[in-house]
Amino acid sequence: MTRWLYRCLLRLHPASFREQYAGEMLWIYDETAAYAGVGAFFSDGLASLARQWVIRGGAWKAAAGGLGAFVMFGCMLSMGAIPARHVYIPDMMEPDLPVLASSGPPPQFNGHWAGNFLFPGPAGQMEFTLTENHGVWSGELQVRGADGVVHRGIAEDIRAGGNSISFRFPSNRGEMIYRGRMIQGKLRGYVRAADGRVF
Amino acid sequence: MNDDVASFLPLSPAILHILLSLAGEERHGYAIMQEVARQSDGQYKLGPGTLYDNLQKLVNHGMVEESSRRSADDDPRRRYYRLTSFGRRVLTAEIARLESVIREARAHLRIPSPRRAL
Repeated sequence: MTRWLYRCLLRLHPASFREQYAGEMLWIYDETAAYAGVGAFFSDGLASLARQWVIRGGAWKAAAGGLGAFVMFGCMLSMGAIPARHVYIPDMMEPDLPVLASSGPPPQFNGHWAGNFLFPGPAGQMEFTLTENHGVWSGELQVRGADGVVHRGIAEDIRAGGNSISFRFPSNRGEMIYRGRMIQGKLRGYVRAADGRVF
Repeated sequence: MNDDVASFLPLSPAILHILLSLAGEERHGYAIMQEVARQSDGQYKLGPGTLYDNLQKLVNHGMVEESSRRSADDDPRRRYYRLTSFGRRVLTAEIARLESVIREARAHLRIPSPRRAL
């Protein structure tokens, strides 16, 4: 439903812009909305819509587009598609990494985690298991790259606090760092390679 | 098309970051978004609307052009963009302008210049 609404929002853009860029904008939406949240897409799309029509001086079209967008926004709010306190968290945002809480590390990271890399495109998988024992974390992980090669290793320097976690692990590209944040029971994060590339 | 570099300065943060992200290699839109977030340590994030608004301007002004690069596993909706020589000149001029601003700021705020490591 939200994808359909986003498509409608793109359709409200001027034809020249839509024909050139709407396909790729929708592709980015498909790739990232699931973990970045749709609210940021819609606020950004509405701003773009206003700019596009104002640039062209089509005031009446801007007004019509704005009205349509307003109705759409209202629909989304009533559907609960935009949470009251929306936080846009792209996969590369640096989560806060507070020092370990004195009351002990948060237990919610314990367990087995699995997911896919979303950049560049659906490529690669990552699985890891984290275990906390008397305040000490340990972890093992397995990463399957886009080339199909599987790397296994030990997670080192595991830091957990609040809703964030990070650890380092060796790979054939050098040491990599995983940083993640717990959002609604899911860990969302990214891997940064030694050369600065982010996956 | 206006070829006068100075008339485009100063660049907006979005334009500056987009040009910077394309300075090293050609990228598709999503990769530009990722690179901009990486460059700014996550402090500056472009949404797709803002990105393509600005890309459209850059293409119209001849600073960026679409590249024909495609790989077999690419989504057909994905397009690649690259910096033109004019775009590179504009970016270089903006960096020089920013360096001068930083010099002025250091002088007025008495911030010591970073020293090179021995």
